[in-house]
Amino acid sequence: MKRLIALAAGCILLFFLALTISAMVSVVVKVHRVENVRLRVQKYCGLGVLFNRKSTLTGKATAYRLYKKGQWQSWQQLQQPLYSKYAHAGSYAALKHSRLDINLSDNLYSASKDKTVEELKGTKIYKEFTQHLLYSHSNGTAPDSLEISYYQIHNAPDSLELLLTFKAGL
Amino acid sequence: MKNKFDALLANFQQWLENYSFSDKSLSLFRRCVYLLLFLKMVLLWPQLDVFYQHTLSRKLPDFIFSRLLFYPVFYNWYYMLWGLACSVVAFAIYHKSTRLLSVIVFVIGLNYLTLMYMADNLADSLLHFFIFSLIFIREGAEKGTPRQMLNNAMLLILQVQFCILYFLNAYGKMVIAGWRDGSFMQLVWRIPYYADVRFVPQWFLNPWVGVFTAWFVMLFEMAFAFLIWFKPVRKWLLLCGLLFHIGIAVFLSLPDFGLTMLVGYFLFTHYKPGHTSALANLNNP
Repeated sequence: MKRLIALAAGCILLFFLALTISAMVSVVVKVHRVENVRLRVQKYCGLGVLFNRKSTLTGKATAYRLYKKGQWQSWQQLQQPLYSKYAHAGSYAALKHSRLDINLSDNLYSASKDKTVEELKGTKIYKEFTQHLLYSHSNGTAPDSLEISYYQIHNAPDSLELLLTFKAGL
Repeated sequence: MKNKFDALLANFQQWLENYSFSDKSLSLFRRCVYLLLFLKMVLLWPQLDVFYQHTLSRKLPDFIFSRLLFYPVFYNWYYMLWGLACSVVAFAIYHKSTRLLSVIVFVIGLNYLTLMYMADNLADSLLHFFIFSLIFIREGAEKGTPRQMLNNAMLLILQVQFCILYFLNAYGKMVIAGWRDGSFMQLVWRIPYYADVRFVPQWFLNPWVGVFTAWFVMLFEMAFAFLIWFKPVRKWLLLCGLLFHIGIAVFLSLPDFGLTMLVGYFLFTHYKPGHTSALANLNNP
Protein backbone atom coordinates (compact mmCIF):
# COMPACT_ATOMS: atom_id res chain seq x y z
CA MET A 1 0.00 0.00 0.00
CA LYS A 2 2.77 2.41 0.98
CA ARG A 3 4.65 1.63 -2.22
CA LEU A 4 1.50 2.34 -4.21
CA ILE A 5 1.04 5.73 -2.51
CA ALA A 6 4.68 6.60 -3.21
CA LEU A 7 4.29 5.57 -6.84
CA ALA A 8 1.08 7.60 -7.30
CA ALA A 9 2.57 10.66 -5.58
CA GLY A 10 5.73 10.36 -7.71
CA CYS A 11 3.66 10.16 -10.90
CA ILE A 12 1.65 13.26 -9.94
CA LEU A 13 4.80 15.21 -9.12
CA LEU A 14 6.33 14.18 -12.46
CA PHE A 15 3.09 15.24 -14.16
CA PHE A 16 3.39 18.67 -12.51
CA LEU A 17 6.98 18.88 -13.73
CA ALA A 18 5.89 18.05 -17.30
CA LEU A 19 3.09 20.63 -17.04
CA THR A 20 5.55 23.29 -15.89
CA ILE A 21 8.00 22.52 -18.68
CA SER A 22 5.24 22.53 -21.31
CA ALA A 23 3.99 25.89 -19.98
CA MET A 24 7.53 27.29 -20.25
CA VAL A 25 8.00 25.90 -23.75
CA SER A 26 4.61 27.22 -24.90
CA VAL A 27 5.95 30.76 -24.59
CA VAL A 28 8.28 29.95 -27.51
CA VAL A 29 6.47 27.17 -29.43
CA LYS A 30 2.69 26.83 -29.53
CA VAL A 31 1.02 23.65 -30.70
CA HIS A 32 -2.67 24.51 -30.73
CA ARG A 33 -4.11 21.19 -29.49
CA VAL A 34 -1.46 20.67 -26.84
CA GLU A 35 -2.00 24.26 -25.69
CA ASN A 36 -5.74 23.69 -25.29
CA VAL A 37 -5.23 20.54 -23.22
CA ARG A 38 -2.55 22.21 -21.13
CA LEU A 39 -4.75 25.22 -20.37
CA ARG A 40 -7.65 22.96 -19.41
CA VAL A 41 -5.49 20.85 -17.10
CA GLN A 42 -3.97 24.00 -15.62
CA LYS A 43 -7.44 25.33 -14.91
CA TYR A 44 -8.42 22.17 -13.03
CA CYS A 45 -5.21 22.33 -11.00
CA GLY A 46 -5.72 26.01 -10.22
CA LEU A 47 -2.62 27.04 -12.14
CA GLY A 48 -2.45 30.11 -14.34
CA VAL A 49 -0.64 33.36 -14.95
CA LEU A 50 -2.24 36.66 -13.99
CA PHE A 51 -1.91 39.84 -16.04
CA ASN A 52 0.69 38.51 -18.47
CA ARG A 53 -1.12 39.49 -21.68
CA LYS A 54 -1.74 43.03 -22.82
CA SER A 55 -5.35 42.14 -23.67
CA THR A 56 -6.00 41.34 -19.99
CA LEU A 57 -4.64 44.75 -19.05
CA THR A 58 -6.98 46.76 -21.25
CA GLY A 59 -10.43 47.62 -20.02
CA LYS A 60 -13.61 47.08 -21.95
CA ALA A 61 -17.03 48.58 -21.33
CA THR A 62 -20.48 47.69 -22.58
CA ALA A 63 -23.42 50.05 -22.97
CA TYR A 64 -26.94 49.06 -23.95
CA ARG A 65 -30.33 50.60 -24.45
CA LEU A 66 -33.71 48.96 -24.84
CA TYR A 67 -36.64 49.76 -27.09
CA LYS A 68 -39.82 49.51 -25.05
CA LYS A 69 -43.33 50.88 -25.53
CA GLY A 70 -42.46 52.58 -28.81
CA GLN A 71 -39.39 54.47 -27.67
CA TRP A 72 -35.71 54.00 -26.99
CA GLN A 73 -34.78 54.22 -23.35
CA SER A 74 -31.59 55.93 -22.18
CA TRP A 75 -28.19 54.27 -22.53
CA GLN A 76 -27.13 52.15 -19.56
CA GLN A 77 -23.68 50.95 -18.56
CA LEU A 78 -23.51 47.19 -18.03
CA GLN A 79 -20.55 46.73 -15.70
CA GLN A 80 -20.16 50.14 -14.03
CA PRO A 81 -23.15 50.06 -11.62
CA LEU A 82 -22.19 46.59 -10.42
CA TYR A 83 -18.55 47.46 -9.89
CA SER A 84 -19.58 50.63 -8.05
CA LYS A 85 -21.77 48.52 -5.79
CA TYR A 86 -18.73 46.40 -4.94
CA ALA A 87 -16.42 49.39 -4.54
CA HIS A 88 -18.78 51.38 -2.33
CA ALA A 89 -20.84 48.74 -0.53
CA GLY A 90 -18.39 45.82 -0.63
CA SER A 91 -20.87 43.55 -2.40
CA TYR A 92 -18.97 40.42 -3.44
CA ALA A 93 -22.01 39.20 -5.41
CA ALA A 94 -22.01 42.43 -7.43
CA LEU A 95 -18.27 41.99 -8.15
CA LYS A 96 -18.86 38.45 -9.44
CA HIS A 97 -21.83 39.66 -11.47
CA SER A 98 -19.70 42.36 -13.08
CA ARG A 99 -17.08 39.69 -13.96
CA LEU A 100 -19.84 37.65 -15.58
CA ASP A 101 -20.96 40.67 -17.62
CA ILE A 102 -17.39 41.42 -18.68
CA ASN A 103 -16.87 37.84 -19.91
CA LEU A 104 -20.25 37.64 -21.65
CA SER A 105 -19.57 40.92 -23.50
CA ASP A 106 -16.06 39.81 -24.38
CA ASN A 107 -17.37 36.53 -25.79
CA LEU A 108 -19.99 38.37 -27.80
CA TYR A 109 -17.33 40.64 -29.28
CA SER A 110 -15.07 37.67 -30.12
CA ALA A 111 -17.99 35.88 -31.81
CA SER A 112 -18.95 38.99 -33.80
CA LYS A 113 -15.54 39.35 -35.45
CA ASP A 114 -16.26 37.01 -38.36
CA LYS A 115 -20.07 37.18 -38.44
CA THR A 116 -22.85 39.44 -39.63
CA VAL A 117 -25.48 40.59 -37.12
CA GLU A 118 -27.93 38.00 -38.41
CA GLU A 119 -25.36 35.21 -38.07
CA LEU A 120 -24.43 36.47 -34.63
CA LYS A 121 -28.07 36.33 -33.52
CA GLY A 122 -28.11 32.62 -34.27
CA THR A 123 -25.22 31.82 -31.94
CA LYS A 124 -25.44 30.40 -28.41
CA ILE A 125 -23.21 33.20 -27.17
CA TYR A 126 -25.71 35.85 -28.33
CA LYS A 127 -28.61 33.98 -26.71
CA GLU A 128 -26.66 33.58 -23.48
CA PHE A 129 -25.83 37.29 -23.48
CA THR A 130 -29.36 38.53 -24.25
CA GLN A 131 -31.05 36.12 -21.84
CA HIS A 132 -28.79 37.32 -19.06
CA LEU A 133 -29.23 40.96 -20.03
CA LEU A 134 -33.00 40.71 -20.10
CA TYR A 135 -33.28 38.72 -16.89
CA SER A 136 -30.95 40.71 -14.71
CA HIS A 137 -30.79 44.19 -16.28
CA SER A 138 -34.27 44.69 -17.73
CA ASN A 139 -36.45 43.74 -14.78
CA GLY A 140 -37.45 40.58 -16.60
CA THR A 141 -39.64 42.40 -19.12
CA ALA A 142 -38.69 41.74 -22.72
CA PRO A 143 -38.10 44.83 -24.90
CA ASP A 144 -38.92 44.93 -28.62
CA SER A 145 -35.34 45.68 -29.63
CA LEU A 146 -31.98 46.37 -28.08
CA GLU A 147 -28.85 48.25 -29.06
CA ILE A 148 -25.44 47.26 -27.77
CA SER A 149 -22.14 49.12 -27.95
CA TYR A 150 -18.86 47.64 -26.81
CA TYR A 151 -15.85 49.87 -26.21
CA GLN A 152 -12.19 49.55 -25.40
CA ILE A 153 -11.01 52.03 -22.78
CA HIS A 154 -7.69 53.76 -23.47
CA ASN A 155 -5.79 55.42 -20.65
CA ALA A 156 -3.41 57.78 -22.34
CA PRO A 157 -5.15 59.88 -23.47
CA ASP A 158 -8.41 58.91 -21.79
CA SER A 159 -10.67 57.82 -24.63
CA LEU A 160 -13.08 55.16 -25.79
CA GLU A 161 -12.67 53.13 -28.96
CA LEU A 162 -15.86 51.61 -30.36
CA LEU A 163 -15.28 47.92 -31.09
CA LEU A 164 -18.80 46.66 -31.73
CA THR A 165 -22.24 48.17 -32.08
CA PHE A 166 -25.50 46.76 -33.38
CA LYS A 167 -29.26 46.98 -33.07
CA ALA A 168 -31.35 43.86 -33.01
CA GLY A 169 -35.05 43.13 -32.73
CA LEU A 170 -36.07 40.55 -30.14
CA MET B 1 17.30 -0.27 -14.67
CA LYS B 2 14.49 -1.96 -12.74
CA ASN B 3 16.66 -2.12 -9.61
CA LYS B 4 17.51 1.55 -9.92
CA PHE B 5 13.82 2.43 -10.23
CA ASP B 6 12.97 0.26 -7.20
CA ALA B 7 15.72 1.88 -5.15
CA LEU B 8 14.54 5.34 -6.16
CA LEU B 9 10.96 4.50 -5.29
CA ALA B 10 11.99 3.01 -1.94
CA ASN B 11 13.92 6.18 -1.09
CA PHE B 12 11.00 8.36 -2.06
CA GLN B 13 8.66 6.19 0.01
CA GLN B 14 10.94 6.47 3.04
CA TRP B 15 11.21 10.20 2.57
CA LEU B 16 7.42 10.51 2.34
CA GLU B 17 6.99 8.46 5.52
CA ASN B 18 9.28 10.81 7.43
CA TYR B 19 7.83 14.00 5.99
CA SER B 20 6.41 15.89 8.96
CA PHE B 21 3.08 17.68 9.18
CA SER B 22 1.27 18.50 12.36
CA ASP B 23 -2.40 17.77 12.82
CA LYS B 24 -2.92 21.34 13.94
CA SER B 25 -1.65 22.70 10.62
CA LEU B 26 -3.88 20.28 8.74
CA SER B 27 -6.90 21.16 10.82
CA LEU B 28 -6.33 24.90 10.38
CA PHE B 29 -5.82 24.51 6.64
CA ARG B 30 -9.00 22.46 6.26
CA ARG B 31 -11.11 24.85 8.31
CA CYS B 32 -9.81 27.91 6.44
CA VAL B 33 -10.45 26.30 3.04
CA TYR B 34 -14.02 25.41 4.02
CA LEU B 35 -14.55 28.80 5.63
CA LEU B 36 -13.54 30.51 2.41
CA LEU B 37 -15.96 28.36 0.40
CA PHE B 38 -18.68 29.12 2.95
CA LEU B 39 -18.05 32.88 2.71
CA LYS B 40 -18.13 32.82 -1.07
CA MET B 41 -21.41 30.91 -1.07
CA VAL B 42 -23.08 33.12 1.53
CA LEU B 43 -21.88 36.40 0.00
CA LEU B 44 -23.32 35.33 -3.33
CA TRP B 45 -26.79 35.17 -1.82
CA PRO B 46 -28.04 38.67 -2.90
CA GLN B 47 -27.58 37.78 -6.59
CA LEU B 48 -28.11 34.04 -6.43
CA ASP B 49 -31.11 34.24 -8.77
CA VAL B 50 -29.03 36.02 -11.45
CA PHE B 51 -26.35 33.32 -11.41
CA TYR B 52 -28.88 30.52 -11.17
CA GLN B 53 -30.86 31.77 -14.18
CA HIS B 54 -27.68 32.26 -16.18
CA THR B 55 -26.54 28.72 -15.36
CA LEU B 56 -29.88 27.30 -16.50
CA SER B 57 -29.69 29.24 -19.79
CA ARG B 58 -26.68 27.23 -20.96
CA LYS B 59 -25.76 23.58 -21.37
CA LEU B 60 -24.96 22.09 -17.97
CA PRO B 61 -21.79 20.04 -17.47
CA ASP B 62 -21.97 16.34 -18.32
CA PHE B 63 -20.51 15.28 -15.00
CA ILE B 64 -23.56 14.35 -12.90
CA PHE B 65 -22.19 15.65 -9.57
CA SER B 66 -21.50 19.09 -11.07
CA ARG B 67 -25.20 19.73 -11.67
CA LEU B 68 -26.93 18.16 -8.69
CA LEU B 69 -28.39 21.49 -7.55
CA PHE B 70 -29.68 22.33 -11.02
CA TYR B 71 -32.17 19.55 -11.68
CA PRO B 72 -35.62 20.77 -12.79
CA VAL B 73 -37.19 19.41 -9.62
CA PHE B 74 -35.21 22.00 -7.64
CA TYR B 75 -36.09 25.03 -9.84
CA ASN B 76 -38.44 26.52 -7.26
CA TRP B 77 -36.34 25.56 -4.29
CA TYR B 78 -32.88 26.77 -5.18
CA TYR B 79 -32.67 29.37 -2.42
CA MET B 80 -33.53 26.73 0.16
CA LEU B 81 -31.14 24.25 -1.43
CA TRP B 82 -28.33 26.78 -1.48
CA GLY B 83 -29.00 27.56 2.17
CA LEU B 84 -28.80 23.86 2.95
CA ALA B 85 -25.50 23.57 1.04
CA CYS B 86 -24.14 26.55 3.04
CA SER B 87 -25.20 24.83 6.27
CA VAL B 88 -23.37 21.64 5.30
CA VAL B 89 -20.18 23.58 4.59
CA ALA B 90 -20.58 25.45 7.89
CA PHE B 91 -20.98 22.08 9.65
CA ALA B 92 -17.81 20.81 7.93
CA ILE B 93 -15.87 23.79 9.30
CA TYR B 94 -16.57 22.80 12.88
CA HIS B 95 -16.97 19.05 12.64
CA LYS B 96 -14.10 16.59 12.81
CA SER B 97 -13.10 15.64 9.29
CA THR B 98 -14.51 12.49 7.75
CA ARG B 99 -14.06 11.19 4.23
CA LEU B 100 -17.81 11.36 3.54
CA LEU B 101 -18.08 14.97 4.68
CA SER B 102 -15.06 15.91 2.55
CA VAL B 103 -16.67 14.30 -0.50
CA ILE B 104 -19.97 16.12 0.14
CA VAL B 105 -18.18 19.47 0.43
CA PHE B 106 -16.30 18.63 -2.78
CA VAL B 107 -19.61 18.02 -4.60
CA ILE B 108 -20.98 21.31 -3.23
CA GLY B 109 -17.81 22.98 -4.49
CA LEU B 110 -18.41 21.48 -7.95
CA ASN B 111 -21.90 22.97 -8.00
CA TYR B 112 -20.51 26.32 -6.88
CA LEU B 113 -18.15 26.19 -9.88
CA THR B 114 -21.07 25.33 -12.19
CA LEU B 115 -22.98 28.31 -10.82
CA MET B 116 -19.97 30.58 -11.25
CA TYR B 117 -19.40 29.66 -14.89
CA MET B 118 -17.88 32.69 -16.68
CA ALA B 119 -17.70 34.61 -13.40
CA ASP B 120 -15.05 32.33 -11.90
CA ASN B 121 -11.36 33.06 -11.74
CA LEU B 122 -8.07 31.42 -10.77
CA ALA B 123 -9.02 31.69 -7.09
CA ASP B 124 -12.08 29.50 -7.59
CA SER B 125 -10.08 26.80 -9.40
CA LEU B 126 -7.33 26.88 -6.79
CA LEU B 127 -9.76 26.69 -3.89
CA HIS B 128 -11.51 23.79 -5.55
CA PHE B 129 -8.22 21.95 -6.01
CA PHE B 130 -7.63 22.40 -2.27
CA ILE B 131 -11.12 21.04 -1.53
CA PHE B 132 -10.49 18.03 -3.78
CA SER B 133 -7.17 17.32 -2.06
CA LEU B 134 -8.82 17.44 1.35
CA ILE B 135 -10.73 14.25 0.47
CA PHE B 136 -7.43 12.40 0.88
CA ILE B 137 -6.20 14.26 3.95
CA ARG B 138 -7.36 13.40 7.45
CA GLU B 139 -6.16 14.51 10.84
CA GLY B 140 -5.29 12.02 13.54
CA ALA B 141 -3.25 9.61 11.42
CA GLU B 142 -0.72 7.59 13.37
CA LYS B 143 2.93 7.84 12.45
CA GLY B 144 4.12 5.19 10.02
CA THR B 145 0.64 4.21 8.82
CA PRO B 146 -0.45 4.37 5.15
CA ARG B 147 -3.02 6.99 6.17
CA GLN B 148 -0.30 9.31 7.43
CA MET B 149 1.72 8.65 4.31
CA LEU B 150 -1.28 9.54 2.15
CA ASN B 151 -1.59 12.80 4.13
CA ASN B 152 2.07 13.55 3.56
CA ALA B 153 1.91 12.71 -0.14
CA MET B 154 -1.14 14.90 -0.73
CA LEU B 155 0.29 17.82 1.25
CA LEU B 156 3.57 17.58 -0.62
CA ILE B 157 1.65 17.66 -3.90
CA LEU B 158 -0.26 20.75 -2.73
CA GLN B 159 2.95 22.48 -1.67
CA VAL B 160 4.61 21.72 -5.00
CA GLN B 161 1.52 22.84 -6.92
CA PHE B 162 1.48 26.09 -4.93
CA CYS B 163 5.15 26.71 -5.75
CA ILE B 164 4.58 25.92 -9.44
CA LEU B 165 1.80 28.54 -9.44
CA TYR B 166 4.29 31.15 -8.19
CA PHE B 167 7.01 29.97 -10.56
CA LEU B 168 4.75 30.08 -13.65
CA ASN B 169 3.55 33.56 -12.69
CA ALA B 170 7.12 34.79 -12.28
CA TYR B 171 8.33 33.12 -15.48
CA GLY B 172 5.24 34.20 -17.45
CA LYS B 173 5.96 37.81 -16.53
CA MET B 174 9.75 37.75 -16.88
CA VAL B 175 9.60 36.69 -20.54
CA ILE B 176 7.49 39.75 -21.38
CA ALA B 177 9.32 42.99 -22.13
CA GLY B 178 6.40 45.04 -20.79
CA TRP B 179 6.85 43.48 -17.35
CA ARG B 180 10.64 43.86 -17.36
CA ASP B 181 10.47 47.59 -18.14
CA GLY B 182 7.59 48.19 -15.73
CA SER B 183 5.10 49.47 -18.34
CA PHE B 184 2.68 46.55 -17.74
CA MET B 185 2.71 47.30 -14.03
CA GLN B 186 1.50 50.82 -14.78
CA LEU B 187 -1.30 49.33 -16.90
CA VAL B 188 -2.29 47.02 -14.02
CA TRP B 189 -3.08 50.03 -11.82
CA ARG B 190 -5.48 51.33 -14.47
CA ILE B 191 -7.49 48.25 -15.45
CA PRO B 192 -11.12 49.35 -15.33
CA TYR B 193 -13.31 47.33 -12.95
CA TYR B 194 -10.19 45.84 -11.33
CA ALA B 195 -7.94 48.64 -10.07
CA ASP B 196 -9.79 50.48 -7.35
CA VAL B 197 -9.25 54.20 -7.92
CA ARG B 198 -10.10 54.97 -4.29
CA PHE B 199 -7.01 53.12 -3.11
CA VAL B 200 -4.46 53.41 -5.93
CA PRO B 201 -2.32 56.53 -5.26
CA GLN B 202 -1.13 58.59 -8.24
CA TRP B 203 2.54 57.95 -7.45
CA PHE B 204 1.96 54.25 -8.26
CA LEU B 205 1.77 55.38 -11.90
CA ASN B 206 5.30 56.81 -11.83
CA PRO B 207 7.48 54.85 -14.32
CA TRP B 208 10.22 54.21 -11.74
CA VAL B 209 7.72 52.97 -9.21
CA GLY B 210 6.35 50.74 -11.99
CA VAL B 211 9.78 49.20 -12.64
CA PHE B 212 10.42 48.68 -8.93
CA THR B 213 7.00 47.14 -8.26
CA ALA B 214 7.16 44.89 -11.34
CA TRP B 215 10.56 43.51 -10.33
CA PHE B 216 9.49 43.14 -6.72
CA VAL B 217 6.50 41.06 -7.86
CA MET B 218 8.56 38.89 -10.22
CA LEU B 219 11.43 38.34 -7.79
CA PHE B 220 9.10 37.60 -4.90
CA GLU B 221 7.16 35.03 -6.94
CA MET B 222 10.35 33.38 -8.19
CA ALA B 223 11.92 33.40 -4.72
CA PHE B 224 8.83 31.90 -3.14
CA ALA B 225 8.85 28.94 -5.52
CA PHE B 226 12.42 27.95 -4.60
CA LEU B 227 13.26 29.42 -1.21
CA ILE B 228 10.11 28.61 0.76
CA TRP B 229 11.59 25.15 1.39
CA PHE B 230 14.42 26.67 3.45
CA LYS B 231 13.72 27.42 7.08
CA PRO B 232 15.73 30.64 7.57
CA VAL B 233 13.89 32.60 4.85
CA ARG B 234 10.46 30.99 5.15
CA LYS B 235 9.13 33.48 7.69
CA TRP B 236 10.20 36.49 5.59
CA LEU B 237 8.72 35.08 2.40
CA LEU B 238 5.41 34.41 4.12
CA LEU B 239 5.37 37.92 5.58
CA CYS B 240 6.15 39.42 2.15
CA GLY B 241 3.43 37.22 0.64
CA LEU B 242 0.96 38.35 3.27
CA LEU B 243 1.50 42.01 2.31
CA PHE B 244 1.57 41.15 -1.40
CA HIS B 245 -1.78 39.33 -1.37
CA ILE B 246 -3.48 41.85 0.90
CA GLY B 247 -2.31 44.45 -1.65
CA ILE B 248 -3.81 42.45 -4.52
CA ALA B 249 -7.06 41.98 -2.63
CA VAL B 250 -7.43 45.70 -1.84
CA PHE B 251 -5.93 47.45 -4.88
CA LEU B 252 -6.98 45.05 -7.63
CA SER B 253 -10.46 44.01 -6.52
CA LEU B 254 -9.46 40.36 -6.26
CA PRO B 255 -10.40 39.67 -2.64
CA ASP B 256 -11.06 35.98 -3.19
CA PHE B 257 -7.73 35.40 -4.93
CA GLY B 258 -5.80 37.15 -2.15
CA LEU B 259 -7.58 35.15 0.55
CA THR B 260 -7.17 31.82 -1.27
CA MET B 261 -3.44 32.35 -1.61
CA LEU B 262 -3.18 33.30 2.06
CA VAL B 263 -5.05 30.15 3.04
CA GLY B 264 -2.48 28.22 0.99
CA TYR B 265 0.22 29.65 3.26
CA PHE B 266 -0.99 27.34 6.03
CA LEU B 267 0.61 24.56 3.99
CA PHE B 268 3.97 26.06 4.85
CA THR B 269 3.41 26.84 8.51
CA HIS B 270 4.14 24.32 11.23
CA TYR B 271 2.78 24.17 14.72
CA LYS B 272 4.17 22.53 17.79
CA PRO B 273 1.52 20.77 19.86
CA GLY B 274 0.05 23.16 22.41
CA HIS B 275 1.07 26.32 20.59
CA THR B 276 -1.45 28.67 19.04
CA SER B 277 0.54 31.34 17.26
CA ALA B 278 1.31 30.51 13.64
CA LEU B 279 3.93 33.20 13.18
CA ALA B 280 5.71 32.24 16.38
CA ASN B 281 6.24 28.75 15.05
CA LEU B 282 7.08 29.31 11.43
CA ASN B 283 10.65 28.24 12.06
CA ASN B 284 9.82 25.07 13.90
CA PRO B 285 8.89 22.37 11.41
